[in-house]
Amino acid sequence: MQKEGLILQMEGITKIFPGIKALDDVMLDLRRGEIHALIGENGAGKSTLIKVLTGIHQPDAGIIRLNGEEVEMTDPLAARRRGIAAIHQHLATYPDLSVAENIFMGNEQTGGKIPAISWRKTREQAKALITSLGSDIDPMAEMGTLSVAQQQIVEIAQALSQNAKVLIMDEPTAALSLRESEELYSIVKGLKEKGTSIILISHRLEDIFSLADRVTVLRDGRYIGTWDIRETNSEMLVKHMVGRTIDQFYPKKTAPVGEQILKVEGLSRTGFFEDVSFTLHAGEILGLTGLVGAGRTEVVEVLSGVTRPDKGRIYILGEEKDITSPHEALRQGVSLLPEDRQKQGLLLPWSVQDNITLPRLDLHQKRGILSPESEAKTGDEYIGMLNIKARSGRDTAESLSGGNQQKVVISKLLTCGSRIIIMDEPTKGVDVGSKAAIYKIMCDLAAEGYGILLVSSEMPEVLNLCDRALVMREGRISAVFIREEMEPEKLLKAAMPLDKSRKGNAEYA
Amino acid sequence: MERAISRLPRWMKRWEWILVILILVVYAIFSGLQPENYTFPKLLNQTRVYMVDVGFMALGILVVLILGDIDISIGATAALSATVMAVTYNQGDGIPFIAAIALMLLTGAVCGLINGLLITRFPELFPMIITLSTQTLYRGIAYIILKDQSAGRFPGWFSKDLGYGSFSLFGLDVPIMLVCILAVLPVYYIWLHKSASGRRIFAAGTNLTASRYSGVQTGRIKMAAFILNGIMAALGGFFLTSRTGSVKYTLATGYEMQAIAIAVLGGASTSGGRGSVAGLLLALILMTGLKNGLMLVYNDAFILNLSIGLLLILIVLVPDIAGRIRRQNTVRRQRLTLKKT
Repeated sequence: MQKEGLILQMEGITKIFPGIKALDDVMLDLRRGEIHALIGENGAGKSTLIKVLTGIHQPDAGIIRLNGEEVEMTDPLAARRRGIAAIHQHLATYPDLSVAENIFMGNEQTGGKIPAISWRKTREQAKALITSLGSDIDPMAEMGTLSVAQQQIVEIAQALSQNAKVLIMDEPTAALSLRESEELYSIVKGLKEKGTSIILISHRLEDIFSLADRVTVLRDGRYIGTWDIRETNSEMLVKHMVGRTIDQFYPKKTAPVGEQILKVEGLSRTGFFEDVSFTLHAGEILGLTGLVGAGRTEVVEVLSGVTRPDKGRIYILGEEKDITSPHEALRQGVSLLPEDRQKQGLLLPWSVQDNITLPRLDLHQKRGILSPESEAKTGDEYIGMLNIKARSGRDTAESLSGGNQQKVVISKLLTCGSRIIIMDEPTKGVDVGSKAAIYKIMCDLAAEGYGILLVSSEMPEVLNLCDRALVMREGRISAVFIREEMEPEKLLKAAMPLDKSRKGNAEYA
Repeated sequence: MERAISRLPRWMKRWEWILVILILVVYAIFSGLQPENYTFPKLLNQTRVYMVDVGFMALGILVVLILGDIDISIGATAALSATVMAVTYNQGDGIPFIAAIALMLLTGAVCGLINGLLITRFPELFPMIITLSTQTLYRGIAYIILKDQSAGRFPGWFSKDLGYGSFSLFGLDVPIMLVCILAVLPVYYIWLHKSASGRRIFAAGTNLTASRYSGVQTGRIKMAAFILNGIMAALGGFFLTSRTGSVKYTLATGYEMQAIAIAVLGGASTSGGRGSVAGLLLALILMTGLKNGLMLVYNDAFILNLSIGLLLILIVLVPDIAGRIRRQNTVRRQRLTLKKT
């Protein structure tokens, strides 16, 4: 029952894990030479479906047809041999080996009279593959010296070297700057034209609309539907992903901006950022944007005591402060929501309530002994207040979805009662529903007189939430915009590196 | 069976119950084999050999293990501290023994401080390698002080009352030493399991970065844990000396491994974040019963060590295997219900 032009058909796929049905009767079909977007909230089953397809997991029910022929993906190697290759968000490369060695790892090019690796052949073939992708990466360069975007191109080359017919890209642009994403996408489009079929998983709807031909939505491990991209729009997709309409994605921020609570003067950390100065007021949401690597995270790490500055002054409520550690920052009223919630924000095996009470255990002591009742009370309070989806405060943090985990980290901040709240990419890897919830929390906090410094790479977030936005470029603040002046083009221009204008100046001289 | 277990309340599923069962099994086996010699009063008397000095050292290392670190210099620390105590007291008649004890504790603290400084300042080096080096260093200093001599002049109460003394309670002879460790255990229990600073120790061992971001002063906690570990090792050396009556530079050789084994058997994990004071006490009791029984039956230290080694491997593996079986069963049950529908 092969339909014309279908390279891959997955039907009735069901996969069970201890305690959860991760996939329940899911289907997916892929045409030859199409880009097929696979979307859904975190935990919807996208990754599990991909793992079934690449032979990492065995399905409990369902069939996979490749070119109309029923196949069994018994292990990752079998999938690779059949021409299915996945490029993961977290790259699995060998940083100390060359690009060419990485491409032909496990598939070494032998030749000549003796049965040994032919380095000449390896080099030439690697060069040919990279050129065919329209890139100019040196095949002899050390993998570790490349940017994430370049490493992804190498991974694509590796997949092609094994004659991949189906290429799966899992959140390929999560770690890339805007320009790098565009480069990667033009490569993807080129592959499509050459007849490779691509499954694209992405949280960025803009990307999906500019690239994909069709889109399949999963929700809670179930198949919701497949649409031609021209028949859909973002509201409709969001509705299918969340299962309800979100009337107010960006809440209206009404809080008036009050007194100055934080002032930073000439802050520098050699090699990371130079001469950063700004102020933050009560009730304000101040954006800090720029490309990945512009020094934003490094600035907020200094403000929250994770690292020390080389130069500069920090004033909190008008008084100069020396923030020597995160402990000291919390005492001075500065809280940080770190970028990586799993590594920096949470103790994953711990319960939700134990995570929430950790920063202020002193509040739950009675004569030096921790009171379980007091801790449970605080846990339940925040679970209710932020609508965290957990059965109880005793659920472990790792059992929650990304968005709910983020809400636990936000609860931790709130227990500290700091007036200055720094959020580093608070909606990274968070599903649409939780995103809206987090935005609402931010606006509510601002209304209560907190000052929020929002570090974000997502333009819509900055445009819709912030009273003012600072743009960083190569370690310096390149522009400040007030709300009325904010336009995507202006923000982008301020964020882009200066190479071109420098050249221009040189020509002038 | 599987379902029955999963329905039990949380506190009944604790590792400690397995230790309780093992203790009863060991007691049943050996009292069956040696009904004359393997009796409760005799075991109680033997606790001074198997529970006290190792117990102090295990408590010290427990905190270090919960933090996800390790310290294998504690045997050497005990030797050096006891050496300092003996040599100080033997300097002349005017020196009070309490001053020698104070110096001993100080020595232990300094040994721990050095370990802590090296480990917190050079996080890229393995604690195992650092403390392997300081182990050699501390024992080396003990050797320089004492050479191959042994120092054995102590006040009478130290070796007689503390080392071999006991008092009568309900007709049983309870060693005084045993009371010392039993008095310290509840303090550790409350500190580690019931207080804020104990919670922070578990937090730092579970995820150091996230704990630091949450305002936990991880550097300070580590330093404190290593210093306290040094002091507990010194106390271990103190009680060992009271029992053996003299100090040589080889004192407490291999005790670091025994202490670590007790802490791990009691539920501590070498990757950090887990450990239990109650489990540690049960592990001490289990080891006392087992070692005593094996010595009675075989009277051979090599058989003793071999059996203990085998047991440790088994006990560390059991929870892991049990977990795997449980996960497989859950999946199998779900598949069955799936097929029915």
